[in-house]
Amino acid sequence: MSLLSGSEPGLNAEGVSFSVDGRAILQAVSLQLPAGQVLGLLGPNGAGKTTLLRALTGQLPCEGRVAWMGRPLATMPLAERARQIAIVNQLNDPVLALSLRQVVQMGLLPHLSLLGRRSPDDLQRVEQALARVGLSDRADQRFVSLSGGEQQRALIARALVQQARLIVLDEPVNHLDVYYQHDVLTLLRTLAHETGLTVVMSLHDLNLASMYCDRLALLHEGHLRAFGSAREVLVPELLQRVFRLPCVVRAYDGLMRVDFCPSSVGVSQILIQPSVISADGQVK
Amino acid sequence: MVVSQLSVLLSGQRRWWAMGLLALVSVFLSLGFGSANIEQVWSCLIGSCSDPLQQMIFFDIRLPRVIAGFMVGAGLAVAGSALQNVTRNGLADPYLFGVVAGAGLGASVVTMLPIMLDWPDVGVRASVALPVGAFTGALLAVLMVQGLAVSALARSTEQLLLAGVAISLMLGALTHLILFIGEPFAANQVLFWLMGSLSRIEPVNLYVIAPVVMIGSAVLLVLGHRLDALLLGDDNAFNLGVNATSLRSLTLVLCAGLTAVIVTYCGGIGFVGLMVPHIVRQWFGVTSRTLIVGCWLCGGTFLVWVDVIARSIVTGQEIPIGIITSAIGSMFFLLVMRQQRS
Repeated sequence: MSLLSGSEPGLNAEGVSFSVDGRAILQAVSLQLPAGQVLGLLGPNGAGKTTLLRALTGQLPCEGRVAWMGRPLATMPLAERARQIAIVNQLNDPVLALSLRQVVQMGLLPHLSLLGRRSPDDLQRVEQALARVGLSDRADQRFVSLSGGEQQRALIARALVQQARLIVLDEPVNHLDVYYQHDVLTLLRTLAHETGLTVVMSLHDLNLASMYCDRLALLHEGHLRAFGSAREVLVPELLQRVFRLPCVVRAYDGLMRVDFCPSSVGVSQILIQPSVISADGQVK
Repeated sequence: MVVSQLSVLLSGQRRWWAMGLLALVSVFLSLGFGSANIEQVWSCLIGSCSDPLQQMIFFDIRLPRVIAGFMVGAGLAVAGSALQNVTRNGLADPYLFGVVAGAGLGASVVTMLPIMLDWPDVGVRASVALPVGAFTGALLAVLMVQGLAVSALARSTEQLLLAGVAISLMLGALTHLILFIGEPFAANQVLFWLMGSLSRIEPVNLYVIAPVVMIGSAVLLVLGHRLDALLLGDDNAFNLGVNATSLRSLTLVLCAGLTAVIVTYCGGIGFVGLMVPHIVRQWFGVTSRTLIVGCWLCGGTFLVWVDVIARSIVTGQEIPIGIITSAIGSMFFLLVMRQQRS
């Protein structure tokens, strides 16, 4: 039975495989994500997370089938795909003199006519997106002078200008401090739940993933080991096998918490009934 | 000091008006250098030339030459800026495909071979044979570099640049061999042509140069926003719906064709395509449309003035323009670099 049959429109991947020089990077990965949800892609280094993200956006010529809103990506014209799907990657060497506004304005490109005239509406959309991510007052600064978190939010603003319905992010909270990690993830979750944006991102932090994602996918050696809610995916035996560390998983009300226990710490230390220390220093 | 004060005074829109005005004034003033003075230039421009000889000199020699100078400078600078943006390499310049080396080889073959092989004079004028030979050579060089670039051997832009350098050296060696064993007088002719000059341009050539430069610049201008997407890398371009490979190939072919036409009529005029974009980037900005319009104005203005120097610094003789562009240009560029640091 096809995964595509009778499903809600959204992102559908079916039997996605990819190999380089005979070495399999992705092996028959199938997943299905309804529109408006946040998917977190988990897995150790080299599990194939980035490759899967590239396959899901049509950047990679792979076996299998990827469809967005029921339309196969393989046959979608490049500009049409850019109006539907935005990819947020770290910019490796951004051109020094580009301003934040110029980078965000690039999101207009898939919507421009051949001559590329920008209407006042277009420019207003840029300002709205900048305001939405809270960067209006920094729009004229050079992009490279922004902090990592601000750059990440700027690229999300560009995705908003692109008016994409699916946004794909490769480790969006890497190199960000705790504040910006929550800042960026809150923004994405709010956009998803308020505007119906679909979000797919790879994450290393399992606890952040369980806090912000509606669905999780666990990749290991190119295989999709688990897919579903945090409770379905964050299973101790599975995590131990995939991440090669003993771990403890605790379930709170609607929230999962994973603690890995390297041999130097030991499981017993974590399993002891914890003391809760509040912000005013009181131990309960 | 002066430059920084000037840049504060001329901000935003005003900078464009100033540059446009400077370009117009430059074209007008440069018409007055030589045997005609400014008053005579003005009277000829408004159609009341005092003397028919004056009118002939003005319309058949001076005016076409100044317009050609502007077009050549504009075309080289625009091609350079587009190439630097698509290869994301500030060292890219219009000659990177071996266009000059190819044109040089073509020119030396058509000039030297008939003499070396003692062919009877077939009555083809040198003014026709040389451009045809040069253009064929330039085109062959471009095809060779492009061929290398699209083969599996060379996918990255670094390898494209290196392929261009290698082809240039190879064709240059062949040219030098032909010039070395060939007849000295004809060899001199080719050597002078290689140094670059606007003096060979005839009014009729303008019908080729001007449309090629105008259309080439217009197409690049239309592609401007897409070229910007390449500024942040190929993946970024893909994200924005731009096929980086085909856009890059299109731009390379366009710039190579533009440069080949210019080199055919003027020989090798260095510096303009490499340095003018760097200066414009600092004064006007990095996005492609800004850069292309800025390069069009600045490159044209620059070459018009260089040509004035070339034809008036030594009385009764003309210095090859390529020598002056490289000399003035490099000094000016060092000055700008110093300014930027302080």
